[in-house]
Amino acid sequence: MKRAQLVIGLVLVGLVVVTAVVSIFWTPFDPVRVVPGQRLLGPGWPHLLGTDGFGIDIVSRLMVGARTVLFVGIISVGLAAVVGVPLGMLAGQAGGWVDEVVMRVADIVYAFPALLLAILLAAVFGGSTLTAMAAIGIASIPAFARVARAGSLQVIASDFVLAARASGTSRWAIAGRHVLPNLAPLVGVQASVGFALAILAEAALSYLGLATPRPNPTWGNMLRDAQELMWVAPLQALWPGLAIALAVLGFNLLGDGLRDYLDPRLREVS
Amino acid sequence: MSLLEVSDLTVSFGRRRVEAVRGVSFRLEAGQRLGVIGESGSGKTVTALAVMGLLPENAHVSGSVRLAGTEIVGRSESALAGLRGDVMSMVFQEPMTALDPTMRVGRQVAEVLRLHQGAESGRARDRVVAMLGEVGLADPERVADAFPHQLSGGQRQRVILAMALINSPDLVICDEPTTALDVTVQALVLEKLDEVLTAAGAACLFISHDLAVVSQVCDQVMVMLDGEVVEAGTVKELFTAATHPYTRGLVATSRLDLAEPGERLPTVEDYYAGEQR
Amino acid sequence: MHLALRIARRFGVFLLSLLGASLLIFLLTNALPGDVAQVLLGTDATPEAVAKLRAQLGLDRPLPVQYLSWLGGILVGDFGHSHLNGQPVLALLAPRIAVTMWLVLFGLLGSLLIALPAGMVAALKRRSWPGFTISAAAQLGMAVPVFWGGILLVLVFSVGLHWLPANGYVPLARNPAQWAAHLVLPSVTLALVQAAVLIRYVRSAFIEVLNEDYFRTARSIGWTPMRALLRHGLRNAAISLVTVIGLQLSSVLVGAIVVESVYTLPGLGSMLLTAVGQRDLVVVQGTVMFLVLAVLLISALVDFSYLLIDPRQGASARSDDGRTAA
Repeated sequence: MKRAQLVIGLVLVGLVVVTAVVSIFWTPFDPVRVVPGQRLLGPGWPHLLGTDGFGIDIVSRLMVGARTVLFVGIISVGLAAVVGVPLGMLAGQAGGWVDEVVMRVADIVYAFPALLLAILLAAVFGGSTLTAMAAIGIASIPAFARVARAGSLQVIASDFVLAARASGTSRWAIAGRHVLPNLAPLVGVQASVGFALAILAEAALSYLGLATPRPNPTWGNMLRDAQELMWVAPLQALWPGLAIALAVLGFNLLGDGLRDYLDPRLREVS
Repeated sequence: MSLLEVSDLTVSFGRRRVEAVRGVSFRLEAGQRLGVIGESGSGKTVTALAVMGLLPENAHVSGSVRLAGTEIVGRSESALAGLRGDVMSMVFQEPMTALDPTMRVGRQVAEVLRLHQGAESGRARDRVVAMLGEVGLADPERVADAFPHQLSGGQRQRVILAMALINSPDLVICDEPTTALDVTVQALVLEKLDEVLTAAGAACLFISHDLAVVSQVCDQVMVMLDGEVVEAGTVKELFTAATHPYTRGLVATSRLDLAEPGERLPTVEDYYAGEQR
Repeated sequence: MHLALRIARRFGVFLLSLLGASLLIFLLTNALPGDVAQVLLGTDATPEAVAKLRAQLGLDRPLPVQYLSWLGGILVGDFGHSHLNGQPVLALLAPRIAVTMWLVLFGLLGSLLIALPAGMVAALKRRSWPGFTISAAAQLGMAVPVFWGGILLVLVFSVGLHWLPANGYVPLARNPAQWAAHLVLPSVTLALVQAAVLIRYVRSAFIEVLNEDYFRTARSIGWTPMRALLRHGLRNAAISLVTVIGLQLSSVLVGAIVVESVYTLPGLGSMLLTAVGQRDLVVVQGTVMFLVLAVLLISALVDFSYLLIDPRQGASARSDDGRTAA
């Protein structure tokens, strides 16, 4: 049962990654060029899922969309991990007022919804892929900081770290040699879950017109277009949504599967 | 017809069917008290839970448990719920956690009444306070209005005793009821238990790892080891003429007053090495 | 810790968060490379005109002074004035608050109505098919973006069946039946998506209860598992769930902003998006601040209610002298 989760998660994530990579070199049709004579074709051949309101092949647009999703996910989750993990480790290792200040600030950022942050950035700089990534990344920092802090507290209290400390290893050497490697699995789980959230957030932002603008295809802005055509071509609204849902499902399952795999004690509860 | 007849009870758990209890049989007459003794993992608590029908979902039960002639094994959940707290009840080991922390103690006792007797609230309150007094709580009115965290371990255990006894059940199962308490409190609670059981005329299945405690409350004893009954008889027989080496070990360790000063104290292992030891 | 002290501490956290959030909002909206005056007048305005407008808007003052006067204004209910039409932000917000409030309220209630029973059953039957089914459905639901969920519901109930309106809003005072009809799909959308997230928390909170000794006690006195869970589990699970619902609240609000856009409801979210489109920074700033204030305030209130549910919290000071030896 739990192994199935991990496998399905890996397959779905793998599918997104492969699609994204392939789309760099090849798509069945041009994903941006308007073809006036071919508007709103139904599923068939050669357009497997049909064409959109501009006559562009939907499969091609979905493929490029996968690339955007991965790109935004990697950058924003990467940003959150690179900033959040050291901060969390610092809070866990230093304790005292450093811990208090770092975690209070993390709480404040955590209480600030990513969407509002993205809206503020879009209002100031104009909505783009960049503002979306920045907002999602900043909003995800606290989650990584918390995981890293909890994990490093746990590692510091363990016997092998006590032994290392007793033998005179410095605090920062311990952080590098013992704490960081032990945090890796926890951060991996968080990254997977964070990736799922990033995909949802990016999709919502481009749906609202606050992230990647047309003609560059994203799953979110494809749905925005599809909604306008809802009464004449309802199928249009199906594919991009399905792509988002499967990708999010994949990363969620991967995260859950990893967590169970790494910590069997959590199986019952979560 | 005996009050409780357990025959060839076998309980296993999970997909791999790990057996916790194997072919256990015994009977208990009305008003009689049977001590079940054994170390943790010997299957005594599982046996008790099987009698109550409270085993977890992944348990497989075979054999028969008859309470006053009606079969317990395989009965529907709602039929069993009707018996629990009314005809049979149970006192658990952990007084600190066995009560709902968010509800006043008096309401929790009254609940047992309402569930089975449909008593209206005014009368229930009187019965509850009276029962709390009967189990030896000094200020039953105040205790009834307290939340569990405001009571000591001994007080909580008496509250649980009151819950188990308020409907005058025919059978009370006590699973290590005093193990978590201080030794001095332990003696007081046992004394009270003896008193209320006698007053109610209830039969009792008393589970413990401590032969000394069992001998204070029970006349009959059954020794369990690795899921099986290895010895049964009166307390006196056990002390004087135990046949199984494990039982002899238990007897020796419970009679530390017989050890000479300066001598090494006896352990069960001196008598019984066991297979997995 | 004493109850009053706890409340004071929580209030301190609230004030600190408010300060932090306001600073964040202020700094972001004032980080514009040019400035508002330039944007308003366009690139071909004379430097004199820009300087005059800057002075008029108070933009020539140092940033800390601007921040403090903005914050001071908010404390007395002045969220600034729109650059475009000069109207006070609060006056623009006022007629729209109700729309968003209804949506958040129904969304949250709906999600609880779905997630509580579903999560309980998922916990109780976690080893058989009802449990698996609910968990799997929740896992799928969590992957559905709220706006796609909305679009799908519109496709089925408006485009397909013509049962409910696909967009728009009618105030309650004007026509209650129409008001309800226009809120059904948005509320259900929000509720379903939120419920999917909530079910997991409810499930694990109840599984915790199932492993508690008092749950076994409840069953030993004659409750069936389901009724034992209702009677003794609900309140105990609520203690851990209250915190979760507090956190959920901000995601419900965010969800509402998106849902408003799907169904073109004239709420705070659609106003915010319009203001972003028009680059009306003061309105964006004021609306975001208002929303954050609401989130922080409500989550503080939720935490206080937590003190009321759990008797151990409020009574901890009393228990020391109330404890007597048996």
